[in-house]
Amino acid sequence: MTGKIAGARNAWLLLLAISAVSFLAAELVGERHVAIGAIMLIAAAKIAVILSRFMEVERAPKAIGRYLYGWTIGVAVIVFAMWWVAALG
Amino acid sequence: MRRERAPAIWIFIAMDCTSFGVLFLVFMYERMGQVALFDEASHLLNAPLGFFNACVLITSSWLVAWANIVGREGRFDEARRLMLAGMAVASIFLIVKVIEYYMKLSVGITVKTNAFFLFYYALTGVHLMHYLGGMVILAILAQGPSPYLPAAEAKASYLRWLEGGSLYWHMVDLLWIFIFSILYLIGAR
Repeated sequence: MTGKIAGARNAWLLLLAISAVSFLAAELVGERHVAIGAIMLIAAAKIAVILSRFMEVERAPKAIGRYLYGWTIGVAVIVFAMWWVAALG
Repeated sequence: MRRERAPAIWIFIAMDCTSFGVLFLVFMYERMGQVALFDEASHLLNAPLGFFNACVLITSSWLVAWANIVGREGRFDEARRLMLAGMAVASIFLIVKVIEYYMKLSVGITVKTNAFFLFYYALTGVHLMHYLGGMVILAILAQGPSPYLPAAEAKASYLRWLEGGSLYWHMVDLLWIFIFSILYLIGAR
């Protein structure tokens, strides 16, 4: 159980660190498609960490766990694709 | 690893995420027709405040996850204290959100200003309702097992609620991650 507490703490530190990277990418990266790609990739990664380490989605029915990971990836990819299409004008 | 059969909370989370997912896609679809307006309006949002609030929810989520772990060990007093700590941290989110809304409304930016701000108030407003519901759940969980039930029944019931309430709170956190990315960061300079 101590291992789980340490795991949750490590996940928290990781989430704070990659949140900062995402925020900085939006502010500092000049190439917009790279910045937006990084922002959505990091958002999906953060949600995956929350699903696995905080929510312990492995304890959910298997279909729901798969659906939630699929939803995360799907939203990130579609948002990026729609941003890309809009940028092409 | 023990699997739940089909607890209602997981179905609720899947459905709620689906609803928000549809809202995100409608937002992006509207944006495709008004890119300049959406980017210009996005610059009026305070991204550092949104980032700060993301960190607040992540920290609160961690404390709630910790409470859930110790609760399963039967350390209910520690779980209660961690729930209180999670609530205390999460209350900062509400203060920041109120400040943010006040900053927008005081310069005349309302739901009628343009399509971007219609989505801004709708997405953050619906999320805020989820947040407030979650705070009520955390407040109930911070009371510990019911003193009105036999001890064994109270503990079993508390554990079920602790797990379900924690899962709901993590959902509030993960929804904010997408809301923050889509509203605040995509249009940033």
